[in-house]
Amino acid sequence: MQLLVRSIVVTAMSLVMLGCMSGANVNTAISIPEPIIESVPITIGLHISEELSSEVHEETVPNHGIFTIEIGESQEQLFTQVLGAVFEDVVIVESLSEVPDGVSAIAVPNIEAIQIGLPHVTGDDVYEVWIRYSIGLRDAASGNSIHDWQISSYGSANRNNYSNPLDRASKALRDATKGAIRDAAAIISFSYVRQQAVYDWIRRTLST
Amino acid sequence: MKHLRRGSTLLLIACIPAIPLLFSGCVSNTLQEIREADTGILSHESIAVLGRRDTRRDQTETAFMDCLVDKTSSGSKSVNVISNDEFVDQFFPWFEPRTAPLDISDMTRILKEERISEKLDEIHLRYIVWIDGTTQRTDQGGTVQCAVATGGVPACFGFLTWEAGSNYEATIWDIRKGVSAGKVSSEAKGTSFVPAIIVPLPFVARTQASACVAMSKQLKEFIDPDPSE
Repeated sequence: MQLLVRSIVVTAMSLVMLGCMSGANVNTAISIPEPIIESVPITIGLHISEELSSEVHEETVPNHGIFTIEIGESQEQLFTQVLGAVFEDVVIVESLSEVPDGVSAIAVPNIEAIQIGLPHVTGDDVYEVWIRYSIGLRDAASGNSIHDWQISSYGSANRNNYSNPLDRASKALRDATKGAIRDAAAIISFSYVRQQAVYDWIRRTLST
Repeated sequence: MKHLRRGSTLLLIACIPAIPLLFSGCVSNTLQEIREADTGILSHESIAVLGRRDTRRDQTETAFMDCLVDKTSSGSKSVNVISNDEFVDQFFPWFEPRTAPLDISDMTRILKEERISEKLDEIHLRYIVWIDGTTQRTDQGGTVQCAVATGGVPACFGFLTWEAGSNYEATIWDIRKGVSAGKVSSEAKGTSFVPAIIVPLPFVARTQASACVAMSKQLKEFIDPDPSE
């Protein structure tokens, strides 16, 4: 009986230690709502590379373990939804060498970097995620670059929203990542067509 | 038989974590109100309760937001409440942390967007209530130490105490008039303590719940004041 009690105590303590120190594995399936913005009457192509759709971020935080964020699967929905609102229509382009008719330019997004912030490290009460995207825009006919735009998005989640220490890091980082993806969607929705090179390309395309 | 008795003791100790629900520490509340405009609401109109998340500072807890929505939309003088998640999804991306209006003049600019104002009319939105604030543990002292005593029975000894403060503020915008109607704030302070002589007995001051109940009551009064007042 004594052995059983000791086992229970040791197991409980181990689980708590595990929750604090063993990192987290985060899956970020997210549904971006349809943005309420005015669309530009142009059909754009969207190329989601294999690299982007399978993107997994792995970060080792000393004394806190390995944190893995599977972010790739959210990307097609993000860019289809947002570019589909910025422009009148968006067409998925599987290969950059085979461009469908009616597409004048192709957007090629990519994730350049991801960084996480943990409460134990930053001293704040929030789990944080930063994502740096690049969004290339290529002329469909020539393949020449029209514009390459870099954006940094941010998401955070209050640690006090998650009562279970065993899965707190996973759930909080998942929500912080979703916040960062939504932030990227908001930035693209409002600012993409304001980029000078994109604005000039839109004017050229609409005038032809 | 001896083994059975020990089993019962273990079961009792395993149930102890459920005890905090039974005891609670003392909580004191302070409410404040600043009124900038007359208010009132029709039965078909609604309010949206949104969390301010425009900076890296601490964010209002989901539990407080959920509680406020629940308490404001029920009981005496209840109003139709749209929750944060529902509202920000419906009006994406205009109320995201990066893009949300910071003051009423920003909001009136957004209202000039035809699709936004049409959607707001559809849901009969009359007020937006912005919630700011958190619950923080302000001070703590003492310790409780637990160990497995001879004979295999866990036991705890000591005294643990902490103070918590819940400070929340609601800023109310009248969307129909395009003005800031005022602010309501709720502050709750309380001391929790855990005396332990073999068995720890937590007396937890539920400051967040207390601040929520007080704020929801005051918010309902603010939005739909009694004619005599």
